[in-house]
Amino acid sequence: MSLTRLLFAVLIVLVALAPLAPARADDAASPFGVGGGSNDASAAPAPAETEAPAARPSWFRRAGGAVIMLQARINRVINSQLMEIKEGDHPWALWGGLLIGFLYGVFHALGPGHGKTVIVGYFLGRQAHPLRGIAMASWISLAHVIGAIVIVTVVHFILAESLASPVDEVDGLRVFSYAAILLIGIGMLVSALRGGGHAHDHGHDHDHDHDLHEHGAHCAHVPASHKEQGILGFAAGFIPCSGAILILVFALTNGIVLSGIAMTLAIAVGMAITLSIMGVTSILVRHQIVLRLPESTIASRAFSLFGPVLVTLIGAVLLSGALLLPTMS
Amino acid sequence: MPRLLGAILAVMLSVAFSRPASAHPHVFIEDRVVFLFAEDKIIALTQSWTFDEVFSDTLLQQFDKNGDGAFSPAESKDVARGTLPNLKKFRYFNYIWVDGKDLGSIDPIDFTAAAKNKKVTFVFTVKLPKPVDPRTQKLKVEINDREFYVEVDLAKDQPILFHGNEGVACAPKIRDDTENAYYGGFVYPQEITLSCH
Repeated sequence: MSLTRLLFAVLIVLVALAPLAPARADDAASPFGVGGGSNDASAAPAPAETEAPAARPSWFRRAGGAVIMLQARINRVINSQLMEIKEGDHPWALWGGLLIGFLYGVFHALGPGHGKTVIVGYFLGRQAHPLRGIAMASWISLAHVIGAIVIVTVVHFILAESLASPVDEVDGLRVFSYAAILLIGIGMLVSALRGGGHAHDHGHDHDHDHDLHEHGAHCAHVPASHKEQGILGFAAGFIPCSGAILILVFALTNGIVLSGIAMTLAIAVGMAITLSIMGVTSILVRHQIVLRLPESTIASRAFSLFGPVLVTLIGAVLLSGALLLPTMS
Repeated sequence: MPRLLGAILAVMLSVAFSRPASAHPHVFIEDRVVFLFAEDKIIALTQSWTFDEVFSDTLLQQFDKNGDGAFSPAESKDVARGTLPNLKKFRYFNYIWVDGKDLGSIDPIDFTAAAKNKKVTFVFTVKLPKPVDPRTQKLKVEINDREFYVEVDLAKDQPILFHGNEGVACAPKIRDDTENAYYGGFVYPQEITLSCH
């Protein structure tokens, strides 16, 4: 792992960040102004010219396109399944709903969002036992469902607004979620800088990762704290996807609340599997890199900043995007 | 080994960072287009959009006030009032080019909403500002939601029809338009062109 290679990796991050910036904040505003969307979706669609297609290699487009198309097909089946559950003609409709919810979760977590970005960035920057990767993945996924249930419930029962609006309430919450990610990133950055590549902050790590212990000689070694993971995971997961919200809204309006909650839980299980794979992979990749880094080199120092910088960048880009977009009323 | 790790890292990062991230689409439309001719020129496009069960159900719950599973003329007007102003901001999902020139947003006329077997269909006509001679001019039509909240897909059977084209024989051509890829460049719109003589 040479310095060039690290710079190369940082470059990839910067290039990859570019398309993130103009991303729309309101995920779930229906263009019809009916059913899930606001009645004044003030966001005009981006003209085709401002999109940046074909800048990526074609395998990337194909892979991304395949995931998106798969998501579209799954979403289509979710709609059919919701209708079958509502009509109640088939007792097995709920099981079909749970299965498709699970698949939705698996692929929704593949189609990237900040949950995945955060877990990858975090565990590339923090030493942790692989089980912590699974724990954080599960926590993000659970937070996702809790977020969806809380938002739909609050908007429906407490604010007593029309059902067209819960997705809009999400926008305000986004700012807090992104700000939390940014703050944690900065916190990680400060502790990494303070560590300066010398401090071995074993005190915070109660995992006793004996099998993965990095032999103390390697300086890009900042152990993970559970509290940090808990807050970060919750911040990253709490903003629910439009899919979960729309399922719950439909369930609520059609008197199939329990089925709706069960389906969103199935989504969480699917998400947890994909996120776990990402988290554990990041932990193992980091472990391999740290093992190979020469002691006390610039590369080693640089790598200790890599994860914190990544999480900070994610938070900063998401937050500025959310704050600058006019749709954030 | 470092090379492999670098590659893994690169793939992971590009996957992790790429947008779009959201879980769209949530509404599904099966569409059909009828090209209307007058004096051997195309004057308008009549489109029919059939929605998926869930969005149909949402529309029925909101606008089928008497609950008979169909839209009366008055209810159909309510649907128009309730949905078209918002759709206008999305150009009614219509992208039409004549000889490469984008015609921009065109307000539809003769809008009706109908419901049959719990599925809702919108039918409306988009009038071209000037008649287009498909033998000499190049007409290109794409119907899609660039936000991909809605997936618009041409019907499997007879997606394109012609009406009133006595003196002109036309064959439609449907292909993926790679130049106007949207949703982060991942989704290709279906492009309709005609070859006429």
